[in-house]
Amino acid sequence: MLGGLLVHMRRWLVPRSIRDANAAIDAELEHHLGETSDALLAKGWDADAARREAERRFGDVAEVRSRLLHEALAPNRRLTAIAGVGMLGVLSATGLMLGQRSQQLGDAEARVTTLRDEVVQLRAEAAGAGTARHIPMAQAVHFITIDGAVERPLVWVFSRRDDVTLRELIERSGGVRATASGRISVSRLRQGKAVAPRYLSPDEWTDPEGPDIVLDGSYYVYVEPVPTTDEAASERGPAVNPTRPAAASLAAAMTPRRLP
Amino acid sequence: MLALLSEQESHGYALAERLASRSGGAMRMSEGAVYPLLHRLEQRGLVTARWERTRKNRRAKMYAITPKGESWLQRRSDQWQTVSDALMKILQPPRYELGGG
Repeated sequence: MLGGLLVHMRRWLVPRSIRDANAAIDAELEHHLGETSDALLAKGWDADAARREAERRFGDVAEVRSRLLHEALAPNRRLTAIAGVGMLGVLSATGLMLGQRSQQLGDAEARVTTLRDEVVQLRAEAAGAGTARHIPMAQAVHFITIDGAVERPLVWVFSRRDDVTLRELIERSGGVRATASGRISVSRLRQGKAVAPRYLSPDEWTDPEGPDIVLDGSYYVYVEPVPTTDEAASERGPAVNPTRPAAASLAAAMTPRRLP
Repeated sequence: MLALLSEQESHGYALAERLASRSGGAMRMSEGAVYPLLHRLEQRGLVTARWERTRKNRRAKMYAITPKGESWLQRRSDQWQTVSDALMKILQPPRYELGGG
């Protein structure tokens, strides 16, 4: 029942352009993986191994999918400030609701993930349209990763009224790739500005027994790129772009950059 | 990619395969890398795309080069040929003709 409701809500809430782009990308990538799998099956591979090998040869499927979606929507930025913020507010609240329900209903997880991706895309769209500064910060935790391979910010939006720890947030968000990320900074948001940053090194936050941070309000969470050798060597100083967590413009930090 | 598409309409999978085989394996890359490239070419109007249903009943996105893409490919090929010729002249020692007498 919930699954059907989710589908209807998604159809109503998510713009057709995003749904169509998602469907086209899925079909194209599935065609490629299917053809590769078939070729391997013909050579005597078993089905599971053939699929795994097809995905290995393809590379990072999620990454390619994300890039294609970004490219597909880039020339079609029609979100106005009001519409964009309104849609994001609704989607954020929906994402919260669906996120909580998904813990009880495992079969809803995939749809929640899809919806979250679309929230991410819309958030990035709004940032690109210069509307991010108008989005209310209250009751929101913005989880931002920088993927070193793509050099494009990914924005995860969560609205929470209950306390959550950083590790829970990462876990519920599908995790972040340790290989592509550096340390995490967590800053409390006060009047739209990130203040009092705390840091977790890659070793700390990838260790299940490592330290954790309770997020009991509005926070700005940022995964910094992997530091260069020189930066890592000067660990005593501000290691990685110390002004970044308290960036003057959150919108600027989240504006997608065009790939060359 | 445009050179391959100038020969025949193809989908991404076939292009990745042809790219690897035509270059003798020298240009083997992760197969997924062809798709962002194809989509950018499509957005720039250098290729066009259409969907078709394959014999295995999969939806395949077929790409074909456009006249604009042909023109762009020709210009780039000429540029590359000029650079390549110049480099070969530098790398190869000059051949001196022996005169008669």
